[in-house]
Amino acid sequence: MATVDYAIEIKGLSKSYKDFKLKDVSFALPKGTIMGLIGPNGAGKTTVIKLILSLLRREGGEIRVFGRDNREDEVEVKRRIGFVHDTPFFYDHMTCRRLKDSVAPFYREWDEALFRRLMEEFDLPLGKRFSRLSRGMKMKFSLALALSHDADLLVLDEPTSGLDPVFRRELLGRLSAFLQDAGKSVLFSTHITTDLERIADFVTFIRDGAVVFSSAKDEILERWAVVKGGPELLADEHKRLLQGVRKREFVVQAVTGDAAEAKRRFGKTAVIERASLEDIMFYLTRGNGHA
Amino acid sequence: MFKFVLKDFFLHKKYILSLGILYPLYVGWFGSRLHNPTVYALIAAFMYMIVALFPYTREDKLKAVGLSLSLPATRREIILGRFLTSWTLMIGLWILGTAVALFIPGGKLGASKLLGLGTILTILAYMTAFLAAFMPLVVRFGMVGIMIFLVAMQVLGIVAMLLRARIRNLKVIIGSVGRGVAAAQEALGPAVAAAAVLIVLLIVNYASFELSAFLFKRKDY
Repeated sequence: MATVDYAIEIKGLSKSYKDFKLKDVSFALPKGTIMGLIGPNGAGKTTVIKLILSLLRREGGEIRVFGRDNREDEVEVKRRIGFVHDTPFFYDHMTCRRLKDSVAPFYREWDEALFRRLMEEFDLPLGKRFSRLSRGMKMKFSLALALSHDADLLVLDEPTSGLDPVFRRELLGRLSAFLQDAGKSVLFSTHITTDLERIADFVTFIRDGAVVFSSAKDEILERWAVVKGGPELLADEHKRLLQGVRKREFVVQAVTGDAAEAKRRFGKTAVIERASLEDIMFYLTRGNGHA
Repeated sequence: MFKFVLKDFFLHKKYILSLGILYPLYVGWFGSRLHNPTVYALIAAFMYMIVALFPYTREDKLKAVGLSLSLPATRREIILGRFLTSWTLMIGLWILGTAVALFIPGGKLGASKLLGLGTILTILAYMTAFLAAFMPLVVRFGMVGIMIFLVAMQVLGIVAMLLRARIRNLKVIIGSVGRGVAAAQEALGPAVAAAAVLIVLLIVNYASFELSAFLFKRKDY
């Protein structure tokens, strides 16, 4: 696939802090798809997103957005991205109208009619102060801004956290609708994996600053499984197959990235269940590594 | 860049309007009480620079700089926007403050001094010096940058006082520099000397802009 077939292409990305390191992160988001960036709190999801938006300086690697380097072509790249941050960077005391007025002139493709329509659809009063909006309304407002300048890529950082299920569904529906325009793409980070199971095409799992896997969601759900059995699962020969092992008194539980092989090996001696994204995240985060 | 000027005016409208009236009134009144145009220039430049930089210390305090950084613009353009906004504010406030000083009855500094070329150049020089020193500090340290500058000035003042006591001819040295500048002005003529001063101020502004842009590019948000 040529580079321009990707909305985002990240190779060998690294960034260090005193107590955290993003290590050799690589993944690609094909155009016209939704990718969920999952991982426990502190895994590095927000760091990756901030690096894409050039809010942080990368120390190594490459970030390409629609084939362009995100730093060399910063203006063009940002023009094509709509951002929704976890904590919106807006002045709390400003009204929605004034915030819009300060942002809109920066986008030549700004669609005022679309913005007003979205504000109506989202039930957002233009004259209301940003500080008086609920978290859900703040997210809706950020989304309205992001959608009104004809962005080709939406990047959302934890847009659904702390929101009620009704609004979460509404937001996910909106993202799906956004994708109906050819070539539009979405990258969103979340730790609410059920949201991703509804709409994501691709999932990238980050843990401790490193990518554990990045593949098509269906492939992940097909390949991964939860294995439950007795202590025999802890045998050395299963070390490479089982990950995130959790030991109880008589029960051993783990996940595997090769469900077919697990079925072949443990078919009769262990219970093998379909793993949800949450299961995978839970075991890989809370488990004790390999068998 | 002008979009950033407009954005800053939009986002800080209330603050700019309130302080933009209060400060020129105060400086204008204060200026009308003074005899020395250089002292007036120093105080006015400092006060107006504080107003001009406040939106950015506020932006830093509210962690709202991410808004600017998310917009389709380079960090260099953002800093250029800050310089343009700051200068627009300082010049605007200066014009207002001068008008107030001129219209206050019994003002000690008349129009000839307030609007004299020397006073104008002195104010521009002080504004440049303050902005050039403060902007990189605000970019790098935010609100704390202003504190750092003020503490550094205090330390510098103490050092100057100590030096004054130890080096008796400090006054002579400063005096000779002043006389040198005056002689150069006389030799060049007022127009050329003013142009030379303006060029120096532009260079100082440019150097401060480059330093601020450099610091801003290196900062993580």
